[in-house]
Amino acid sequence: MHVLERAQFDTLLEALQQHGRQVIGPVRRDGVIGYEPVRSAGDLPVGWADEQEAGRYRLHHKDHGRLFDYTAGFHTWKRYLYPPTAVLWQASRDNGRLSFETPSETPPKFALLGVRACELHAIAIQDKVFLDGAHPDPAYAVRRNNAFIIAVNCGRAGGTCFCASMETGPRAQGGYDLALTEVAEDGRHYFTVEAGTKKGERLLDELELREAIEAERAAAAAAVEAAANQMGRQMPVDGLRELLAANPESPRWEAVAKRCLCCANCTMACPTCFCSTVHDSAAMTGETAKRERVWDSCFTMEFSYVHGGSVRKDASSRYRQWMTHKLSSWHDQFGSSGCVGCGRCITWCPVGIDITEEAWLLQEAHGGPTRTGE
Amino acid sequence: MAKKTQGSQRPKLAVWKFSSCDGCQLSLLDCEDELLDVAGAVEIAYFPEATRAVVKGPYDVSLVEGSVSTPEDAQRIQHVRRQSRVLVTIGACATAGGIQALRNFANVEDFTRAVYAMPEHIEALSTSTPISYHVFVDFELRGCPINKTQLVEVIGAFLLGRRPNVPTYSVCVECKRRGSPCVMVAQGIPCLGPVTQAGCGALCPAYNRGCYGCFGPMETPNTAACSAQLQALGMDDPQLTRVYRTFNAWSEAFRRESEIHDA
Amino acid sequence: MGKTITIDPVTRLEGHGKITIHLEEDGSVRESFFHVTQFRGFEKFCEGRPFAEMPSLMARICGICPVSHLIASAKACDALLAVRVSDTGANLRRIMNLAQFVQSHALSFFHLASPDLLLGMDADPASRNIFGVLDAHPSIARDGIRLRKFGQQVIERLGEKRVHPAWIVPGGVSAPLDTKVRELILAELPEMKEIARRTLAWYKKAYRAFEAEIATFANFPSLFMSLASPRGELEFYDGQLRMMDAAGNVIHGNIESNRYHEVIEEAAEPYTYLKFPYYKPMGYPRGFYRVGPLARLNVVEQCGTPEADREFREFQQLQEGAISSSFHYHYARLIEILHSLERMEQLLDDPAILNKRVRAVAEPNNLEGVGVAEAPRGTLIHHYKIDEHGLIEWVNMIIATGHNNMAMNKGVTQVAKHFVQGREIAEGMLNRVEAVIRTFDPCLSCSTHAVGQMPLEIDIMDAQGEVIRRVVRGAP
Repeated sequence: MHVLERAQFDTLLEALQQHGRQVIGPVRRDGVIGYEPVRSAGDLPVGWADEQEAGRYRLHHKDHGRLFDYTAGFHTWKRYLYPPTAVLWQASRDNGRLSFETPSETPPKFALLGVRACELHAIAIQDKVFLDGAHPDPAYAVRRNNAFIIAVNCGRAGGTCFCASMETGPRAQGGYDLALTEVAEDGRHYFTVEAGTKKGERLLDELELREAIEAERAAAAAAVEAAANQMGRQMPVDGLRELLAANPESPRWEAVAKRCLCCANCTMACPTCFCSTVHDSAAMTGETAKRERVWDSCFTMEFSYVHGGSVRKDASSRYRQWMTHKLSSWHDQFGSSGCVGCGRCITWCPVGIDITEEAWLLQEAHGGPTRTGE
Repeated sequence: MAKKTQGSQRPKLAVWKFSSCDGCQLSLLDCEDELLDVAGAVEIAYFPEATRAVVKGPYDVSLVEGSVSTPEDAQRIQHVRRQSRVLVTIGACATAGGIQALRNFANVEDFTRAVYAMPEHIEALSTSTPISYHVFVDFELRGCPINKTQLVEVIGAFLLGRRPNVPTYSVCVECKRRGSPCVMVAQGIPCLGPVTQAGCGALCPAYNRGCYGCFGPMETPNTAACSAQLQALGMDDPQLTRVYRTFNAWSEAFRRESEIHDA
Repeated sequence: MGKTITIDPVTRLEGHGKITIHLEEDGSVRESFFHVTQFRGFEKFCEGRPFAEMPSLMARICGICPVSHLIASAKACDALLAVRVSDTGANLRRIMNLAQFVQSHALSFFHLASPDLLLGMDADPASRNIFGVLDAHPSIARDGIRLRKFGQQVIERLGEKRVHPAWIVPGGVSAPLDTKVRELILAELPEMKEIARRTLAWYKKAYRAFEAEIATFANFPSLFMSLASPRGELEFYDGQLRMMDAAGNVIHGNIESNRYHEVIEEAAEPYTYLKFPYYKPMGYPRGFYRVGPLARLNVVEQCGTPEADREFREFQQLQEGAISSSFHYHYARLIEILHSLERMEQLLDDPAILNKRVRAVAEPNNLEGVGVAEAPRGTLIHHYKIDEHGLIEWVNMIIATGHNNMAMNKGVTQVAKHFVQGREIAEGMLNRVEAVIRTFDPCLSCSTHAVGQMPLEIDIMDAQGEVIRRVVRGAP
């Protein structure tokens, strides 16, 4: 374990940029922390912390000068690894002959800065979806394999976080090139740094950082421990997979449908949701055409459209589909839960529907233990 | 550009105007790059904004802008329908009655008296209604104004005989694809995005404004849940009534919700 | 027996209009009218709405010049707030307004009027349109399409959409100018100025072929009104109102915009829903006046930009005193395009345009506010009264096309008297009756803020007022 002083932070960013990488990191904009291009530490949300509740997000400024005091950002990293819109192919007709071409755009080599433990799990889940199957996604593979990941262990848990109960955080356990822990106490401000890959080690060597002393290691460990104890919410994971599979007719679905807007914010905000649809378009003359892939959501009518109409017409069936897939049938399909406990679907639901709350209520409605353990 | 074929072989396109601001049909002239394609691909058979020439009907595709607001409109739309193989309505006036449908909630005479010195000469129906109240409509293109890319898509789709690719889900989908933070969640700004149809590219939230519903209700609008949240953000009943009563006030979902809050 | 000729609708106008011509027993023209016959009711349905919604609601009056309504409405709201918009905020509004002048004037000149000028007033109506111009004079048509696209793109780049953008707000604009947008616009301006120059050069030769039209297209003495800067230069966004007489004398200057009602009053006539504003001291109908490009160039002493000023001095040579033929609206429009491009460049060249302070925030401090700006078609007035809660109590609007109402009616009569002879109605006559209206570039959507659409037809009525023949042109 090494130590990077706060004053040295720009050397890390400079090194990444010298390697031809575009650094994407936390940036404050329009009242939120999003993930956007960063050039120097001055672009980071120095001193900004978020307050998150169901359907509510606010930023507050503090004097502690921390760079990573916010929790889950508004954006997710899938925005960069699996962009919202991508051209799959273009075709043109020349003298009656059709020719197809794949867009030759080369995506930047990203360095993703500030990836949280839950987000590392989310990336791992999307890797499984896009890379492990019989038909790996080449565009995702290029972006993913070229990305350098700098994780940041959480020193604070957000109001809608529940990674501890999903066993996905708050400490990064793998899937990163470098992992940082921010410590700002007793007049000192530094980061402990660990490498998780050879790539990470090489960068550490270049930076020529000193080894951490025992007190620094202890302070970093304590910071992460504190976050684990602050967790705002808890998911009742025991037996949840089976509970959902067994209760497609639960009256709970009608109850949540009264509040659900079917606006699709939860799926758009989720770091693992991966559904897409394709749009074909052709020029008026019929001479050129293209196919684009765009993020889709199981909350739209078209998502379940088959000949004759949509299968999931009402909100109850759509919410049930989303929650059951995320927490139950995801296991059948990909061997893990599809939820990493980041809490974004809770915070960014305009009416504040809480997936943990819904899980508890479903459990209670079907004879399982309540939150108070009865 | 497509080779110009004989006039009679190209599909005939007509553009009709009812009560409206002209902005939607002008979107067609705004398609500068596509205009030449359109001119090559179709025969502009009736488009008084652009030409005096009239090619006799029937027309393959009629674009209809504007709402029905006079007795003469109500007759004319029947005539348009009879001459059109495909009738596409464009814009909030044609698809929902437009902003002038606000008079549907009041006594029209109050309106004419307020505006004209000699109101007895005004021949206005008491309501401004969408075209679909009067005739069968093949496709409704929403928006105040419409999105010109969607217009080109719709014309192209009907010319090529395929279904137009015009999504009916919420503005939120476009907002999140675009990467804009939710103004309701992050800033407590009332926003109609969750109950409004996409199409504008989620323009207002990108400028820290709430959506005000230019594209009308989305496919499955849960206006009751939306209103409950707007109330939690501090809106009272008169404000709720007004928020649903703008350019798509007479669309079913917005009208019903506005009436619930109209004491 | 006399008769009435109706042209319905008048084509190649923005909107929908109708003309009625009444003939005497001997077939000569007695009088003619330009009608606006629909109703939308903006003044009324705004009542009870928060004033801050007004710019967005008012933009919906018109899809051709939404920016003008946004500006006049936002200025009326500024007056309610009693704030002074920062210089950068005001200049950004100006740039969007200038862009709209370019796109709207380009639409009027190239898409709507140029078919008559290039293909002739008597040409086959089947090809006498922008598509026909594309075939016969592709470079001119492409210039027009390019110029309009530029104007629309500037609006889109600033406000993200071309029709009804939401960027202009009470107190200023909602976002500062992006450096990239500034560069993009500046990079395109030289090409646009070149288009404006060559169009002017071509037009100055072309208009000479239209002697009969120049002589009869609403060619009569009248008053002229527009805004002007304190230095007597063209000013589309701010400044004071000036009234000028036919001899070219300023008869009423320095009229503060919030006192417009001291000099302008409106009359109503039964045949149209569009009211008739007139200059109050002279009474109705004697006090009728014209607004728009021709009026502005008659009223100002100079444009205030170098190239436009050179053209302006040449333009002034057309006639001693005020230039009286409405045919020259076209010429004036082209000079204004050049001026708008030059002015836009000046404003963008100033580094202060990138300042971040672009919006003043306040609660309402006045219960009454007036906003006046020059729209492409002429002076636009928005006047609001609010209650203690900021809700609209009363609205009055005078739109550019309204000011020109009387002049258009007189113009139609003048053309009809010259070109209509007896009961035979030639295509060229119908088109000239339309074309005189087209010189004013009336915006019928604006006209119908209260109204909605304006069918234009030629009705032929006998001396007893019975319709003996109706020529409905343009409607299949």
